[in-house]
Amino acid sequence: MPMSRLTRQLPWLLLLLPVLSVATAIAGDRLRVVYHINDSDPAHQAYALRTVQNHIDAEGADHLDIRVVLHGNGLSMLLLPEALGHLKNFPRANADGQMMAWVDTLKDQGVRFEICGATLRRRGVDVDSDLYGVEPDEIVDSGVAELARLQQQGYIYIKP
Amino acid sequence: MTNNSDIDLNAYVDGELTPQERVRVLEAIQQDSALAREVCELNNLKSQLQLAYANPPGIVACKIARGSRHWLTLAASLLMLAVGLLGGWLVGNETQAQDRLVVLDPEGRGQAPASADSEETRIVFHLTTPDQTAAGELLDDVEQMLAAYEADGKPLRVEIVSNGEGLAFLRERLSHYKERIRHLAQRYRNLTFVACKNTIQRLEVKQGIEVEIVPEAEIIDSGVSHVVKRQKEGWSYIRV
Repeated sequence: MPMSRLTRQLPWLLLLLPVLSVATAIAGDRLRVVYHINDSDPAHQAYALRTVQNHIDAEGADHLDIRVVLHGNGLSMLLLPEALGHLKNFPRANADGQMMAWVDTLKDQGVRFEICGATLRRRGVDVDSDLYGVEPDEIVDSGVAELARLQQQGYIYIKP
Repeated sequence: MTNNSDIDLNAYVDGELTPQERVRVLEAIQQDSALAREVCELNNLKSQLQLAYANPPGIVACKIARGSRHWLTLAASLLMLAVGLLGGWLVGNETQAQDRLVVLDPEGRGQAPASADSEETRIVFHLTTPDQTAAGELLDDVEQMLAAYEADGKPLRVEIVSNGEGLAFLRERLSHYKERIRHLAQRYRNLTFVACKNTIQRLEVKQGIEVEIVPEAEIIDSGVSHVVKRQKEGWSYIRV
């Protein structure tokens, strides 16, 4: 009975339209999303990055404007293992080959990583020697303030 | 029929019941479709935490009873379509028609008067982690922001809502930061600490203890409902 199936599904398909309308109104043509990471568990960080990748796979990189804001222990995602010796404030350093590859792959697809400058100052992190692949323009003054600012600009907040 | 209060359902949705209590609620839900719908709606409310939309359009219907009322579903979705389009139009025009005035503590403790100033930055922090080191870092971040906004003469309002395992941060006997909380609450009238009454009552029933909250904190019925309300009012939401 394909006809009754259509009538059953049509309403749900229609429901998607308002979502798209809000999304496009906010972002022009790209859906804006900010992912928030502030814990040091490597398994959880890997899960978070996989979630971002799944999001891109589902929507297409051209339709998304994704930011990943790292602050506090979240910086351990990009912390090189050799930096743990002198940075006692970090419980872990997770920037192994696998993590670096994931981060690079996401950056190649347009994902923008933002690193909390307050955490860098507070914990005495040297960007060039302690972190993997962080450019000066990827550092924001305060990760928390950035999360608030992006939401005011219409970014949808997701904490994986 | 088991009598399930709102508190039980909230606790159920928050995942804070014991296994026996969960079973009791689950049995009640199976027998009572109205109750099931209520749980579903509470769940929806919780899901909205993920969304920063003014009108979360995707979360609409709780499908409980199976019926062949296609026309009703169709009518509801057309209505939602209209609401969603209108919402998109409103956001697009930056009119932000929703009332951003908020109900604040009538005694004015730790709070600045409400203003209609849309320039004001409003952030609600949702503290659910038992890790008080994270809470301490949150205080660092918040203090830095409060100082920076004050120095620039920019309006800012911050709430820190603790519930579930995050409540320890505001408990008289467990908090590592009582002094800092007192100092910050006195220093910044635009900073408010909020404790969840559901969590308090649950702890009191479960552990048979009296839960004392630091005097600087406001106590509201449900932390989860509160952060949802704040998001609907246009506040930025950050979970810690």
